[in-house]
Parts: sequence; C-alpha cells; structure tokens
Amino acid sequence: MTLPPRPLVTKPSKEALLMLRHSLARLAASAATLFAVVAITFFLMHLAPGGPFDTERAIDPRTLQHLKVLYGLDRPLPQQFGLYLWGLLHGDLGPSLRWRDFSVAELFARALPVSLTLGIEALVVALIGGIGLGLIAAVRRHGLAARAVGAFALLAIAVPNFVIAPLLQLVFGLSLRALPVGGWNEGAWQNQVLPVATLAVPQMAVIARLLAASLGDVLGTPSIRTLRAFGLPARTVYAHAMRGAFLPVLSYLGPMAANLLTGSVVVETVFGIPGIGRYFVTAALGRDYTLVLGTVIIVACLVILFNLLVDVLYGWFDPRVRHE
Amino acid sequence: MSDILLALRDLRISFGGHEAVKGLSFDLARGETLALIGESGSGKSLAMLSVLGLLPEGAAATGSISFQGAELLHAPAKLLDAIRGRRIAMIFQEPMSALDPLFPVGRQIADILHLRAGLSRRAAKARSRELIELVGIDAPARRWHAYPHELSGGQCQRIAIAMAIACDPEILIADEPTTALDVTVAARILELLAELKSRLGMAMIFISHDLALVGKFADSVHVMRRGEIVESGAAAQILTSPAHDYTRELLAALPPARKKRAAQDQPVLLEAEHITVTYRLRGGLFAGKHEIKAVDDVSLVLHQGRTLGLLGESGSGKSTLGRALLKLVPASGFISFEGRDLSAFDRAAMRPLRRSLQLVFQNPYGALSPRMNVCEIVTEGLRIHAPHLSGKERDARAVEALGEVGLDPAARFRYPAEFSGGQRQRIAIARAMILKPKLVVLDEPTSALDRAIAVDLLKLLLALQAAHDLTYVFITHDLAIVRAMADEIAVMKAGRIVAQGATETMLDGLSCLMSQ
Amino acid sequence: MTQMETMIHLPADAARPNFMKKLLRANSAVVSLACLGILAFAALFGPWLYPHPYDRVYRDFVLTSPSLAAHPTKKETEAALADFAQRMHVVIGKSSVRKDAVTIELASTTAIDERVLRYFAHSEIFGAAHVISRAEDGRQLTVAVPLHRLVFLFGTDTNGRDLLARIFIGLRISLSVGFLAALVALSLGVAFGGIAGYVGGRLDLVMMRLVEIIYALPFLFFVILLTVFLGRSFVLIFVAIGAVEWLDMARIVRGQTLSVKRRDYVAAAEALGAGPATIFWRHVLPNMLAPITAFLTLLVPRVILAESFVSFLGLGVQEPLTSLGLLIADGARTIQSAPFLLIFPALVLALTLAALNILGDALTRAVEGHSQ
Repeated sequence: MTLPPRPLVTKPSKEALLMLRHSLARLAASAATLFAVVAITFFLMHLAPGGPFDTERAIDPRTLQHLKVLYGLDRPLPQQFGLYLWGLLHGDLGPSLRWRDFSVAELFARALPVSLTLGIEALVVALIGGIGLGLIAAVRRHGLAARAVGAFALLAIAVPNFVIAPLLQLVFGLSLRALPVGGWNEGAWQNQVLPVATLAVPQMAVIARLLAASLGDVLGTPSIRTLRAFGLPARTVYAHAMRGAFLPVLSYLGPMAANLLTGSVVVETVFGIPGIGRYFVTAALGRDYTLVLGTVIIVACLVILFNLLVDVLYGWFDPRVRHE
Repeated sequence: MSDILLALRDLRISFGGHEAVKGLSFDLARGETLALIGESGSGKSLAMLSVLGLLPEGAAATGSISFQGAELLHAPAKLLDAIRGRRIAMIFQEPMSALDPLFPVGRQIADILHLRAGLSRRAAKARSRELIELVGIDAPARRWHAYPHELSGGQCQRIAIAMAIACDPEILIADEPTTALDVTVAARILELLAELKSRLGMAMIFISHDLALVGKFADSVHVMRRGEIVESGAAAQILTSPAHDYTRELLAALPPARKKRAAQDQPVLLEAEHITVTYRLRGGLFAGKHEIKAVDDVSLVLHQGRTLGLLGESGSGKSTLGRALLKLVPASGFISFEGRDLSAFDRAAMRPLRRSLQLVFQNPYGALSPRMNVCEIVTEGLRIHAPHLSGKERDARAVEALGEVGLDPAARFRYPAEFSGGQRQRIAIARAMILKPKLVVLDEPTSALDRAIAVDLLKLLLALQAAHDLTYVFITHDLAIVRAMADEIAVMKAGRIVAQGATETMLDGLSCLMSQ
Repeated sequence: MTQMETMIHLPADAARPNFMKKLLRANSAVVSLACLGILAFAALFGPWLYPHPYDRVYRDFVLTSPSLAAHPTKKETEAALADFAQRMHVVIGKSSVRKDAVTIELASTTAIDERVLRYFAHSEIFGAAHVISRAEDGRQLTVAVPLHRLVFLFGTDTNGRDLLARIFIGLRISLSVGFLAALVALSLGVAFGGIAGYVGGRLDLVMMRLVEIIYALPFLFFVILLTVFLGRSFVLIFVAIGAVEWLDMARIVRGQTLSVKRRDYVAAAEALGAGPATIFWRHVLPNMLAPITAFLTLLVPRVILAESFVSFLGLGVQEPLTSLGLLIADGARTIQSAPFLLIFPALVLALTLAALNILGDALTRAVEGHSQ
C-alpha cells in the first residue's frame, strides 16, 4: 500500500516553525539525557566502596572528618547531589579531590585542549584517508587495490590501538629514532604524529570499509543505473553515488567521536600525554568524584553535540529525513 | 538509409552457467511500437538492458545489437555514452527508485539537458519546466523543487518520462513502466506514452507481462518465454488468433461474470455500521500528533454465501476496512456477526470466533512464515482452535486441506521458499479453509500473480465457495476480476464507500467513476 | 470434487534453502571457523595438555627468547654450575655437559657435606644429583646430575613464566568473557528490544529513550566505572561489559521485531486467533534468529576487545590469572628488551578478532542473501 503523496510545503514560515519546535524538542531531550548521565554516574560512584581520602596508611580520623566537612562529603547524599547540580548550573564543576590545589575546571583548561587537538586531528586524518581508500576500493572493485584496502581494514579492526601504539613506539621511536616515544612537549608536531596515527588508523579503516561497501551498494541501485542509461559522465555518476554512499559514514561519525575519546584513554596512557583520558583513569581509581563527574559530563556533552551535528548534516544530505 | 533502426541478432545472455536469453532476434523500424511480452524471469528486461550496455555484473552477452549500422554489443563506453539518453532512452519499472532520492526531480531533468543536450544551465532549467508540464504534471515550477519521495508513483514515472524525452531520442525503451502503479494511473501513463510517441515520432520498445494491456497500442508483438521468442507477429493478429499455447495462456479468459443471485433468501452473516478506523501518527515524545481516517463511517451488510467486491485504488482504505470487519484493527462502530454484537469484544474475547473469520493476503511471499513447513503452517489454526487433536489427526486434516486447494499433500513437509507464488497462495487458502470458516476476506489474492495462475486461483475460490457456502469479501482494484467474482460491489474512495449495488447494475457506471 | 484434477505438481528437485550450506560455500567463513575451532581447543585443553603451568615461575629463565631449542643450553648450564659452586663453597674441576645430564668433579678444602647436593634438586635446571665416586676423604666428589629439558616455545616473561602457557590461559579468559558477556548482552537485548518492539507505543518510546541515555555514557568509560567501583572479579567484568554492549543488541532486536511484526504471516497468525505470546515465540522470534546470530558473532569480538582494553588499563582480571589484554600491556612495557612478549599475545588476539569478524561478516551476508 503506497501512501498518498505528501502535500508540498507551501509556507516556509510554517516549516521554520516546525524546525524550531523540533530543535527545542531535541535540546530538551539532550538536557534530560545529560541529567540522567550525571545522576547515574553520581550515585553509582558514591554508593561504591572506598572514598577519595583512602590512602595506604590509615589517616587520622580528625583530619579525615575535617577533609570531609571541607568538601561537603559529610552531608546526606541527595543534598550533595543537589549542591553539585546547583554548582553545575552556574558552570562550577567543583574542586578536584585528588589534586587538591586545583579545581576541576582548571585541570580541564589544561587537559581538554590537548585531547581535543589530538581528537580533531585524528578525525580529519581518518576522514580524508578513509574516504580516499574507500573510493579506491569501490572504483577498482575487483582489483588489487580493493583487496589491499580490505586487508588493511581487517588488520586495523583486528589489531587494537593498544597494540598499535607500542608497536609504533618500537618502530619509529626506538628503532628508527625518528620521532619521540612519548610526552607532549607543548604540542610539538613530532610528539603528535604517533598519537594521531594510533587514533586515526583504526577509524580510517572502518570508514574505508563502510564507504567501499555502501558505494558498492549505491552503484548497483536503479537510480544510478538511470544516470548511466542517460549517458551522464562518470564524474556526475560518482558525484551522485557518493552523496548517497556517504550517509552510512555520516551516521558512524557519532559513535566514532565516542571511540576517539575513549581511544584517547589508551593513547594518552601509552604516550604519556596530559589529556582528559589519562585523568579519567587516575581519577576513577582514586575516587576523585568531582573529576570523574566532570570528565563524564564533558564526554557526554561531546557525544551529544556530535550526534546533534550528525543529525543536522544528515538532514542536509538526505531530504527524506527532513520531513520526518 | 534503411528503415530499420535497431536490429537484434541471436542475442544470448548468460549468468555463470545459466542462459537467461537464448538467441533473441528482432527488428525495430522507425516509428514502430514493438511489445516484448513475457512473464517475470523470461529474460526480456535483460535483453533490453544489454542494448544500452547496462547488463549487471557477471552477465556475458554474445550475438549482435546493431543500431543504424553501429554495433552496440561490447561497444566502447564512448560510443555507448553518445547513444545513451540522446538517441536511445529508457524508463524503468520502479519509478520511485529509478530517480535519485537526494536531488530535486527538476534538477535531475535539467542535468540531462545540460550535460547531454548541451543546453546552458539557465536554458536547461527553463526547458525542464516545460518538459514537466508536457508530461502532464501540474504546477511545474513548484514540482521542479520536489524530491521523489514527495511525489506519487505516477508522478515519478512522468518525471522519468520527461527525462527520457529530454533529448528527443529515436528509440524509447519502456521496461514495465506501469506495473508498479495503480490500474487507473497506469492507464493514464500509457495514454501519455502513446501520445508522446505520436507527437515526437519515436520508435518504442515496450516490455510488459500483460499482453492484453499492451497489445492495444503496439504494432508488433514478440512473446518471450524462458529466454526464447515463442511467437511474433502483428499485434492485432496475436491478440485475436494466438498460435502458441503459451500465448493463449497469457490471454486466458477470466471466469464468466457472476449470475445474478437472489439476496433475500440468504440470511445476514455480518452487519457493520458506522465503521471508522483512525490512525494516530506520533512524531515522538515532544512532537505533535495528527490523525488520519483510513476508514470513514462505513456501513455494509454481508449475506451468507455471497461475495462483496470491495473496489478501490491503493490507499482508499479497502484493505483496512477488510481487517476492521474481522476486528483485526481497532475501529469504532458496530459489528454484529451471526446476530451477535461484537462491538464490546476485545482481542481475547474474539479469539474463539476467529475460526469463522479468515483472511487471505495479497502478497503470497510475505504471508507464510519462512521458518515453518507447510504442514505446520496449514495446521496452525487447529493448534489454536482444536488443541485436543493429536499430531496424526492434524496431519490427516492437513492432507485433506491441501488436496482441496489442488496441492500435492506429499509436499507438506517442505518450506514455503520452495513454492511458486500461486502455490503459496493455495497454501494460504488451505490455512484458512482448514478451520471451516464462514467469512473469508480476500485481500487482492491474485494481484501478485501471473495471469494464467490468477485465473486458476479465481476458479478454485469459486469452487470452494460453492462447496462450503462461504461468504467472501473480495478486495481488488481490477474491474474484470470483480465482475467475475462479486455479487455486489462497493466502491471505496478516501476511506468512504462512494457507490454500492449489485454487480451488473454497477459495472456500467464504474469505469468513469474509477478514473475520476 | 474436481480440484484433484488440477493438482499442481512440484519439481522433484526443488532445492530446500539451506542456510548453513550457503555459509559454508564461502571459503573465508570455513577458514575462520577452522581458526576459531583451533583457538577454542587451545583455550579449553591447552593449559591442560601443555607441560608448563601458567603460574609457574622459573627464576632461572627470566625473559628467555622464544625458540624450539631445549633449555638449559650449555652456556646456561655452566653459568648455573658456577653459581652453585659459589653458593656451596666448592670448586668445580672438570665438568662435562651432555644433552640430558652433567658430570662434574667437585673439590673443596674440607670434606664436602653431601647434603648440599640437595640444592641441585631445588633448582629448575637440575634433577636430584647422585654421587658416582668419592675421593680424598670426601674432599673431592664426582657427581652426576640429570638435566631438565625445558622448552619455552614462545619464551618467558619478566617473572620467568612460560608465555605460551600464559597465552593459553589468557585466551581462555578472553574467550569466556567474550562469550559470556555476549550472552548477557543477548539476553538483555532480546528481552528489552523484543518487548519494546512487540508492545510498541508509549512503552517503546520510553524504553528507547532509556537506551539513548545509556548510549550517551561513553561505553568504555562506563565499563571502567563499573569495574573500579564494583570490584575486579571475573564475573563482574563480563557482566559489566555485557551490561554496556547490550544496547546495540536491543536496537537490532527491536528493529527486527518491528519489521517481522509487520509481515503478513504475523497478521495471519493473529487472524487465526493466536495469542501474543504464541505469536512472539512461534512466529516473530524464529524469523529474526538469523540476523541476531550474525550480529552476535560480530558482538563477541567487540566484547573481547573491550575486555582486553579494560585489562590493558590494569582494571581487568588480576595476577596470576591473565587475559590477552593484560599480556599485551605487560608486553608493551618491555617492548624494547623483549618485543616478543607483545607480539605473540597481540597475534593471538588479532587472529581471534579477525576470525570472528570474518565469520560475522560472512554470516551477515548469508542472512541478507537468505532473506531476499
């Protein structure tokens, strides 16, 4: 049963109104999601055994009590949660419980640019490389290039980043002595090459694989056959096909952002880079409640933001979703 | 210059070991309309794709395709590209998927004009508007910006036709251009093609499975079966005196029109009053909702042993009404069955009654669970309504039911995938009949089948009705079928019954009503 | 009745669509299945058949290179003898090292207490020594000491434990976490997605919103949180990973349920009067088994990867137990001096992941081809 044709939208103002309404709904949903994420993390962490002031040696109970009062940890849990949210609404992520001379915001001010730099560079490299390789594999579908790209993609999926990272260190750092093995060195480019490669290569492989597969599918669809039946030049045919084939890649970009962020945990650990990924593990192990919460909020925000961005781009690419 | 535009000689196309086209030869003269007829899988579409070098991967072709002396088979891409679209254009079966969903339809026409006919961007845009108007779409300036999903199937096919005639081709190949469309829409598309053909003077190859439909406006007809031409000749001659058995099968006559039978002496089986089915469309947690009335205040009476033909285009609400009568979709209104008021019955309360109320679906491929064998499918109703039966007894009933619908009961342990469309439809009928129902709603049971098979199935349904005093609601969009099957007709449009009456009296006024 | 005359006969050889046959026609699927079979065998029986226990520490063989040759080598034997001589305050005169035993002459300024010979038996290199002859009032002994013949195919780690034995046990942990967590994900996903998809409406909306919320938690962060806060036992690891990885499964099952629910055969079952539970179990579930299986095959390597990742960060199983991720982390630390400690576990992990991915892809393709 086919649906009757949709009426064409005549008044642009009505569409704009719908868009606004839709955007507001999305924003509200995102805020709700963020709240749920904060609540889950907060209570899970506080209910778990151990505390931020546990040390190897037993701590003087009076000092402990003093610390607890100082950081408001003596209050009932719901009250703590309320206070935390209140601070959050004012943009205050609280003091770090572990690096006690710093607030979480101060720590992030130093760590976030580092992680973002690596993440964005890796994203760009992965997109450019992945699209290039995917195109080659799809155009020369039965050639050696396609097989090579396929093998590369499989290898990148089978060899995780925590293997790639030390191997890169071994080859380029220790054997060839071409690049530093680790450290940040105020963001010198030499220090960025290996971490970015580690982050980008697996994502590049996934993108190449996705694009090659979907381009192969799209090239076989009736709409592309129509273009060929009209003798349109190959350039035009591929331009049309790419637009359709890019959609699955686009939907992968959301999860990929999350992957890059979690990948940074490994990369920052192996290469000794002072980003938020490294803070997260130490903070979680040390029960640094505020720092963990801060990291989770930042990451969740980035993931939500990225998914929103992908949705907007998707609507721009595909007119069919605009109406839904 | 000879009058022959296109000549095919001993064209053979094979996939791996399987030969799909076995030595096809014919000539197409300037201005001629040639119909290539055959059922699905007869190789007719493949043969035409090979003319433009569009064969799918893995297909190998031999023979000769000569277009005004130039050999097209295995021709270099450059030569093919010069011919594609400009001299030979093609339109395809599925109009929606043949257009690029991501670009406005006007732009797709303009692209061809710009890149193929060498018009400037501006001229191409202006010309594409004219073409949209030429193929009979209203408000061309506005439709220019529409995306394929915003247009109906018929409108999409019109756009595809506009693309095809954009460069004034000498040959237009139409690959089942109306099969995916409603009957009335299809008729109008055919009219358009015939009109354009005479206006522009092009030759046309028309691929179809429906000989009766195409024969009317084709000059010559070639009937294909399993990759070979079994009969060729002038259209008039083939339509009136087909020589080959297969051609006769394609023209198989429907059962004769129903004799008028008295309604008064038959008791009322089901009575429905003010049936309304409303669908609420929800956008999500925050988005607004709106309602669609699929069935709008319909009342009807079904008499025992008779057939009500429910006629309407797709989207008119006839399928929904059929399900609402069986209380399979939530509906408001009053339904009484054998004098019992069903209005208050919920799902659970309806369950025991289900054995009397059965449904047969349009698509035989989706109606049988692919994971169950035929015996399990057919006896499913017995498991529910006669749980006391032993496995052996159930099996015996399955054998009986399959025999009654003309299937070999020995095949009952096979899976649906092994059966053809017509055989599956018989399995679905056996599944309904095993419960000895009183009312059967038949939802376009033959529209997905080839003609000869459809005719056999209709005869089977008539025989079953006579044998078991069944009451049918026969849903269809086909006037000829409803004439053969129904005692009464109700015509639906936009959820309402717009006309109702005895078949004979209704039929005269119907054709104009349907095409409104 | 005349219908029997119009009986339609079926072609005798109507091929029954066989899903497995189709799958096994793909070479890649067969190869990866064989690979997985070997890996599973190694994980199950490897630790049991292999002579070295995974937690046995050979103090004399720290960071031995991988080789087929037996240890100790002549050089190692001599070094060990010199070590003994020093500890027992004896001088070693002539010694002859043969393949499976050494004969040595011990000399000392005082009579040698033969009890010191017991030291030999305590080492990993030598067996129990026995005295062949005594001379000069016991100040000179000729002793025959049998040699152990140890083979470290993949070498030993920084603690002197056999790497292959550790890979066997690591593979066992990784594979079992993989399958158990995938099972957790499967049960959660099928229950959640099935209910959401089958019931639909407002419930579906709420359930899927919940999934979306958990999605916004970066999933490996979530695993880290769970393992840090809830402890680091084996059970918790696979429950934690399963609890995170079920989201995709729920989405897939819901999507499948929705699409199968719309099929006519489900409507037909409803028209026959079947209840919702019957419809779900008899008609909906069997028809989405294939795509679920295919997805599950692709889920297992993801879970294994997640476990390795957690172990790599030191949050997984604890010593002396190990997993592939933990072995890789150890290997990464000694990459300069002993790269094989990284390379062998990484190879095994890569082989596992590649085989599972190839099999999953082949299954997915077979399912897609099957449903057409």
